[in-house]
Amino acid sequence: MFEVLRHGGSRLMLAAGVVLLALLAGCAAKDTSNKTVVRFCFWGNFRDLSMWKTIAANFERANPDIKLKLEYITGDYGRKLPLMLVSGTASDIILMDDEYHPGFAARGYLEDLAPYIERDRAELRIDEFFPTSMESFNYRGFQGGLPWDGGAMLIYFNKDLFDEAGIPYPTDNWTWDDFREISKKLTVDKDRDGRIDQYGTNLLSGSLLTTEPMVWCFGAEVLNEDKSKFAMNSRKGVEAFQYITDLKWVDHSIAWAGEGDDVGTEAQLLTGRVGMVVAGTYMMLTLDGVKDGMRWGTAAMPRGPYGDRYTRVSWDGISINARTPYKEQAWRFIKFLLSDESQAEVGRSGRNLPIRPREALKYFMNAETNEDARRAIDAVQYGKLTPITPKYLEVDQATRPLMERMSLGKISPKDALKEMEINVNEVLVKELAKWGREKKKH
Amino acid sequence: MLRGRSARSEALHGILFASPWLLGFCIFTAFPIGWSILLSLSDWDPYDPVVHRTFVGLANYKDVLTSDPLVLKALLNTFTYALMVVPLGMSVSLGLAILLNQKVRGISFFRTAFYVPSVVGGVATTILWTYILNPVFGPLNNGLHAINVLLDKSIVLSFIRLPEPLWLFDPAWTKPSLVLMAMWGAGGAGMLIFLAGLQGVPGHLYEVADLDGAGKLRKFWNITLPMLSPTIYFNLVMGLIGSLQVFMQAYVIDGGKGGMDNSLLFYVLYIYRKAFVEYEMGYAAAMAWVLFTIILCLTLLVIKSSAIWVYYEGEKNA
Repeated sequence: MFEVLRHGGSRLMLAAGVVLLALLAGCAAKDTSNKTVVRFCFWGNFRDLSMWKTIAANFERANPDIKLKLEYITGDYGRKLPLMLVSGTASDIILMDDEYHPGFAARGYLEDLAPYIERDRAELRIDEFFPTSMESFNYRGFQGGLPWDGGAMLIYFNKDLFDEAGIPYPTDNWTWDDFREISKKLTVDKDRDGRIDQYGTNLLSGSLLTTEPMVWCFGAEVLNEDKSKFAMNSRKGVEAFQYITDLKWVDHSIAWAGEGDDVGTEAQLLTGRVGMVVAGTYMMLTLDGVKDGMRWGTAAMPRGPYGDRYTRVSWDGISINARTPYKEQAWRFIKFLLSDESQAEVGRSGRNLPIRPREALKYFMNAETNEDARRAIDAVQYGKLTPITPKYLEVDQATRPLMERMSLGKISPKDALKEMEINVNEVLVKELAKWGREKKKH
Repeated sequence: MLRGRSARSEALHGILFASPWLLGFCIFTAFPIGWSILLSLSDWDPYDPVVHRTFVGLANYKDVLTSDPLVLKALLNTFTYALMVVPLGMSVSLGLAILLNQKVRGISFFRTAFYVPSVVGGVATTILWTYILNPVFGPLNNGLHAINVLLDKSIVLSFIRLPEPLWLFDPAWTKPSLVLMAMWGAGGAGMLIFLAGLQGVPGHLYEVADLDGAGKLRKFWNITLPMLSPTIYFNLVMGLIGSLQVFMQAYVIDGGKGGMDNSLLFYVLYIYRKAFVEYEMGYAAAMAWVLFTIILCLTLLVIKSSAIWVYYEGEKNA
């Protein structure tokens, strides 16, 4: 028997190898028709999936030579995508988050879209895009993606709780002082057991980046203009942090760190645990989808002590994998996504605002008659972009422990900011050492 | 000549038959180990092609050992946790094993019942416990609060007040919270091994002790513990290695953010963060080798010390 194995073995194994290879090759076979298969990966929930299915079907009808293969990534897109890109298995078209874009753009994984845009500028109607949206996918002059939908943070509040307490609904010209007063009034210990059951607000989730809209309204900035240094260790920065620590330690009107603020903003608002929250446009669809839930309303971001008003605006983008052979096909899909037809689909899905104000007004949640939807559109006009850098996540990491110590009353806003400055600058120094201060070299 | 040939072919066949395992070992164990040594000596962003590695010598090790305050914090966190969880976990496992070694009716039911928690996966257990420990919605604090309300109302006991900690939201309580979670699984493998050890203690030793009039404690101290020392030794080594590599609970609790004020930033979690969030693969590899060295030294220490306190039946100089 061994004799057989010894003489026949190598040939047998060779044959097995050939069969295996053939099987593997079979897996990668092209569509039997003459269509080019182009892969598109995206994140999202079940609503997003059905929106993409519709858009993909429309696209294939208009482009009979292309088959768009939807690659729906559930779970942690931000971990999966880098792995796919590094291993060379990433899709041809990539749904891009503004938070990941600089990291991928800096490392050369994305196709520069500038020449494509130049070619089709008129068709894309880029000049009609919401302000800040193009900038969101421009890393040091490198356009690694195009925005296709987005939105801004608003205040969402529980009307029932306001009525119970006899508080008039906020007007669009309110200030953070008004916010604080209302927050105080909304804070109650309903069963008088010594524990607060209803808080005015939650405002933030222990992260510097989620407090940003408020910080901006106070006239402070997290990073300096060219994103090379921490800029918040200033008088105005201290004022902003003093404001939230006062909500916690003077008024006790903010659910923060161990006060039920870990269950998600939607749940807190819907259960009446907090009266007012800061949330993005997506919240509208969530609240709308709840049957027999509380009555809710929206308000513009309050004005700061110097009369400034800002909010955080963020955009979702779409990019082309720099290594794909199907760049033209990918570009056709991007153009299709930005067309009137698809943008109407995006608006109707309610997930976020379409990329041009005109289509937003026309298709997003009946914005022409719906004041909440219109407020969401207006918010984009006074919105600002978060200073995202390739080491964005590390900036969050470097500041989080200090936010937490502040929430526990273990460090003053002033000292917290001092330490944050040291930590964040350390991260940014590393970043500058790697990618330099100037335009990215290729 | 002929013999040499057949011996060679036998060896070849042996290797051939072992090759699935050998290949697996080489590709998935030996190669990564060697590769990680190489990585620990280089600066490499895993986003970049492997050829873009730059050799930096021992710089990563120098940084890990001298200039990163978070390494120190992570080591402190890990050792604090290990110091709490290893002795406590072993005591609880041993206690359970002794209880389950009694001759009572339906003992196999109890043995199963105490083993069940460790059948539930670690992630599920951790998520369950984050709910139990939630200071607002969790049953634990609501129970404590209800008791406190009752105590307040009573006249005699109103001076007593149970703590209502913030558990995972208070840096001082995060590690005890994790130890509490670990106790839930104390009826797992550790307990089974203790139980097996207990059943291996020869009954005649106890009979002799009975004749000499020894009490229960005396028998435990002078017979059970010494006879169990090889089992304790094994569980200690495994517990030590396991607790120094603690990662999953901290990762599940808040997605690897390191817990309140970095109080759950364990060493392995920090390695993960360096490798897959900050993309400093070389630094992370160096950290891993430092941890390997620490665990190796501690284990050697335990092995060396075992000569003093571990008793093997049949050993000459015992």
